[in-house]
Amino acid sequence: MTIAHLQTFLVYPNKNAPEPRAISGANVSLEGEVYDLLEDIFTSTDNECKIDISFDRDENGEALNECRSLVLAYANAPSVSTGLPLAVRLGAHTTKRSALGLLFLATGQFEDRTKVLIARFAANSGILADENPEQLTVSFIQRVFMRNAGAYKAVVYEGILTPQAFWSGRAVDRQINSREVEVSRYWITDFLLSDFRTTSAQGTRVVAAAMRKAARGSTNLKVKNEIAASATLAPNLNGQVLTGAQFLDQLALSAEAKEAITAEFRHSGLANEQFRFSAEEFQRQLPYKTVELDSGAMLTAPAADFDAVFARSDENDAGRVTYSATGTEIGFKLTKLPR
Amino acid sequence: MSLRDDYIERYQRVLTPLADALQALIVDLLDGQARIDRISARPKSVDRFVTKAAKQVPNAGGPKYEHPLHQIQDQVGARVIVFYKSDVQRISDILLEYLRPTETKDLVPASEWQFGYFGRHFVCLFPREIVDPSWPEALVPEFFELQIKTLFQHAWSESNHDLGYKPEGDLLTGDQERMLAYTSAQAWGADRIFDDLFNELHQTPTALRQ
Repeated sequence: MTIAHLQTFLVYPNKNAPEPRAISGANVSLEGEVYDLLEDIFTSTDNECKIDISFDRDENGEALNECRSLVLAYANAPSVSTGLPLAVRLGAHTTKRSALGLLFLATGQFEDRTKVLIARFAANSGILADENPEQLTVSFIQRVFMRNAGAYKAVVYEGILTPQAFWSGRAVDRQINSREVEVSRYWITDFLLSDFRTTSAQGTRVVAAAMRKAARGSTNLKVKNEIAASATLAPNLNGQVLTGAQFLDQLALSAEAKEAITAEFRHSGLANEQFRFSAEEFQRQLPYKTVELDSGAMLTAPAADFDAVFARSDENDAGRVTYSATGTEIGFKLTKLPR
Repeated sequence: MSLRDDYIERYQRVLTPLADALQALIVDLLDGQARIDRISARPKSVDRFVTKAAKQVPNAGGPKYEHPLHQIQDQVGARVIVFYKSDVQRISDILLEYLRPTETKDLVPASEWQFGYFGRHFVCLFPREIVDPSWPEALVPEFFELQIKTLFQHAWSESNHDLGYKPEGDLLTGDQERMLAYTSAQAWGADRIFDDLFNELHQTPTALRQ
């Protein structure tokens, strides 16, 4: 699929601006270097836009989303005038921190499918070096818009254009994990009025369930131990945006343990689903950690507190350990084994 | 291939296993929750889909759906039947932590003098977890419908669906409509009383109950 319509808009940071600046746009020729750059982005969205997102419904629960309506209006009749409301919307959500940006809107069609790309290049400054046989000259230039800068953002929607289309798309946002909330929310939450397609609870549930199944199913004591230990560390990742694979990397698990866990995902694609990790959901899914000893002892405590509840001695020469716990007795249980 | 043939292929290859996976997922998400009568999910039957796809825009003429396979959002429907009205909100809150809805509808009559008692409907995106990547992408719908209803809402809407539309397409007589309205009001009243009783018996201190 190639670009059939291409427009660009210079988007000023109009959020909280006492006098918002007018935003203007222009059609971009479907030939030349700018087109080649955008065409390259347009055809490589599968590799670049990896965050699955979906538009939010409105506050009354209706299937209405202001930003989606603008995307559909543009997709139905791509032009500077139908794209301008998107650029104005972006400007209204752009602060001085995010600064000036160059917005590109591109559409293409293949058979009955339409694809829309919305890409924002942040403004940078740079030094232009000009070399000729006599001398090298340098000059400072402003308003350089670069694709590979840290603030690059894009989103792509694809499908058959109907009133029900484009509820979900794929985005790239290199500032999604910024410590500044306003920066991390700017593209997906504020401008696109969207959220991750995989909710925080759902993404966390999937990785936690895979860890539980791997710990239960593995016959390798080292792997079991590693997974149980990592479960106590995982809550520290609360609020981070990551994929299942990145989550396992963050826990510094061995390749063997990672393999045991990813094998428990329903399908391999789930390892690449992006979501915001929830410590609360993780603890709901893996509430308890149990250590079994060959003596018949089973020690159970809330996973996150296990190391505080039980003191563990170093292994003796025979590889045996002693656990100890102190407290007031508040209950006794006899449990039936599952068949 | 006709629309019917396209849907049959979709129904057999994707919708049936997808509905099974959705049901299993909802059962898992609601594991341990009290006062759930049943959880089910199933694909829309071929006949019902074809009938819906052929609908016309009222008074305007022309088909309601230009691309029915991509526009009809209840090709898979899931239903959770709960005991009392308060349970609808509780179960909705739990499920919406895990699902991405694009629409929520409390299906209530437009005015207090009209009848109908259907419950809460959501249109949600299928979670990636249950979409098998080996299925052809073109056969996988993006949405499903989720209904969360009380036992009485379920009973009334099922009977209404069965009796409220004459096979010949004729309209019900005024008296027949009044009878359906009467059962709707009774179902509404029964739910109201059961919910009040439930709240009275389970949310007041034991001493007050005695």
